[in-house]
Amino acid sequence: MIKTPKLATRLLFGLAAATASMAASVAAQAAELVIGEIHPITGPAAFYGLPESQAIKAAADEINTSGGVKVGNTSYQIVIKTADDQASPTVGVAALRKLLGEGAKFIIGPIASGVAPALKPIIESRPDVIQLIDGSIADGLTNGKTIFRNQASVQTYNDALTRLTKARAYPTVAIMTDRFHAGFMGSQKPLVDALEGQGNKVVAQEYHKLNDTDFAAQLTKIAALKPAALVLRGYPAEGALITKTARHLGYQGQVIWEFVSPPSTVLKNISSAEMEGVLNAIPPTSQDYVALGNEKALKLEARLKKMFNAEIGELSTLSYDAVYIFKAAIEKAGTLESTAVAKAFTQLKTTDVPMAINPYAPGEGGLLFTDGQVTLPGGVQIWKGNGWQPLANLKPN
Amino acid sequence: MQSRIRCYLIPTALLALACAATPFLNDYVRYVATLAAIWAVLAVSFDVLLGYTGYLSLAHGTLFGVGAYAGGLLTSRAGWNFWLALPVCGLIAMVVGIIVALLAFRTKGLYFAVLTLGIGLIGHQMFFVAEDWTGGVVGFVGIPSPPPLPFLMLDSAGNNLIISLLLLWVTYLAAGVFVRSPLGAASLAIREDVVLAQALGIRIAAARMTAFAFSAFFAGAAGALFAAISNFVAPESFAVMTTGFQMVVLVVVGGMGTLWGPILGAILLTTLPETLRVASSYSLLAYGLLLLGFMLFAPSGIAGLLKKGWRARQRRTASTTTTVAPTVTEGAR
Repeated sequence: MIKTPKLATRLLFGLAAATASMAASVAAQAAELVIGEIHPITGPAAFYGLPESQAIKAAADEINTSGGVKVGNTSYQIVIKTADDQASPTVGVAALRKLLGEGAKFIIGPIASGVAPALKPIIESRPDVIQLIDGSIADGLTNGKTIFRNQASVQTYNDALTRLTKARAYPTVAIMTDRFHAGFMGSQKPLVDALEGQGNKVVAQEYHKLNDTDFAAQLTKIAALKPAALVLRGYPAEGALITKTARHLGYQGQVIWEFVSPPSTVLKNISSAEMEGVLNAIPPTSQDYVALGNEKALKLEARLKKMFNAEIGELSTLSYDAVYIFKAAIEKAGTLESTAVAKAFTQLKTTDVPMAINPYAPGEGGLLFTDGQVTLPGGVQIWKGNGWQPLANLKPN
Repeated sequence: MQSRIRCYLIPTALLALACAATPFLNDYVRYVATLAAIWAVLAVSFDVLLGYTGYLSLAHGTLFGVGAYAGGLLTSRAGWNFWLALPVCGLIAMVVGIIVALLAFRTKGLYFAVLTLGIGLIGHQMFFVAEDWTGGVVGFVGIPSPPPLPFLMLDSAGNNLIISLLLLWVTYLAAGVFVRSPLGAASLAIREDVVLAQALGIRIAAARMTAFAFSAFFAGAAGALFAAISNFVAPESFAVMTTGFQMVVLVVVGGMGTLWGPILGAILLTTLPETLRVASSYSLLAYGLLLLGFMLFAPSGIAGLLKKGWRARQRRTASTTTTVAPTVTEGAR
């Protein structure tokens, strides 16, 4: 007689607890964290942007399946909203406004150095929006408050290049730059000064633009000057054509690239044999990490294959890391409130993002960002066979 | 009276309607609508030159850029008030336009188009070269937004849209005044037959120069507004093959020689790429096909198609009335 009410009470409590737990679980499942991403999904720079977008979705999927982003007792599922900037400033501004209109306050991207400065005033006019740039290398983009970057700056690229040209002691250098590339054009003068300062005389500075196919005029002039090294700054499709044309015009010196160049894009315009020995002064890319057997990079490669049947892109690991950086900052802040998350960004340490693939060098106090910018080691790669390989020794063999 | 309603009251009523709808639109829609309005300003003013006077200028992308950079310089560096800078930017673009016109009107037909193409290319390069003024390829950053309109209490996106609509309204009314003026009539005569117009004693120099200056003024004003709304401008936005060519497409697709047709063209061609973002790789193809289609099958543009549809409807209504009328008469007997 006595036992029955107790059992009933227990059952009632149990039922209530189960219901509450289920309700909490449903609530947790329904909790969404919107991250917007802006990349060139279509257009001439889509070979950069599409793999970046896919890597972001792969990271979000990985986080979501392993419990989501934990804020207090709530687990948020990441929802990625994609906007295509077509690597054009005007389209990029519209894309950003679209994302903001859809409620995205955390933004990853862009890659195009022409788009990033166009987005900056809009981001800065919205203190509730945080941007993490995973592609553009142009100077002056980060503010260390709401705009951060986990990609190297163009200065890192130039440092790698100047170390190489110094180590190899090229007496003369010619430079050919994409006139429309904001990052490269903005850093051209400091680069020339650095090269001249260390004894690499710059004998020619020529220009081209995206989608050009005829470089004979500039290269005829350069070939006649016989510089020891020809530095190309721009995009891979044009870089391949310039390298090919230079060789056809009899240029015998060292060709050095300074841009991310997926072999699949390069080999559309030049044969592997013609690329043999070309150097590239950039930080290690996603494909380098895969080639070096980095476990996390290999895992990402497998996930991209499974999800999209796509290869890993050269910048994929940066985009992948960007999602994990947001996760770390939000969890550190313990809220989705933008001011707190922005503050957490400034306090993040490299050790707070254990899933990051890129080896970000810790700043003062182990911080990930210094004035909104990470430190990534520069490097040099050499084309061998069908792709790039890290160059261990900067001195000529 | 009917003409006055069509010329002034309908655009004013449409402006009021659009302004009333503004608070109910989201930021993104308002931004796209703002861009459409700016393009419509360019299209209407360009139509005065292309559609009413018959001169195809490919230098107007540069004039749009002159207004944009002038706006940036005046408001961010010289600290001018936006409302003062806006007409001054129009005047600066107009002065540049008059210089271009003085050179270009020495030629005619295809040569005029080619010469303005060359000027457009030079202008675009100048935006790269004059780095101290334009920021070069890196762009001009930090242009202040337009100030809020008094009494409306709108946020930035809404404010931008209303200002763009107001500029479009002013452009449309001013274009209407121009085309109905003796200069407008002279422009039409030039378009039809310049030799005959000269023979009739029409002062063609004044008419076509005024048409060019008019279009340059509003291209400059639109550029200044575009710069203030974007807070940033880069040379890419003022290339001949993008902006210069697009103005021609807007007018041709909308309907040359009608002031309201180019507005429809601007709305269609601004919203289409936004709605078809997923197929943006094919946007140039779509533009080309649209232009080809309209040139071949509807040379008078959307405006022409609408007019044709309206007339057909009126004819159908009239024929129904005449068929029905005898029956009624018979019944009455």
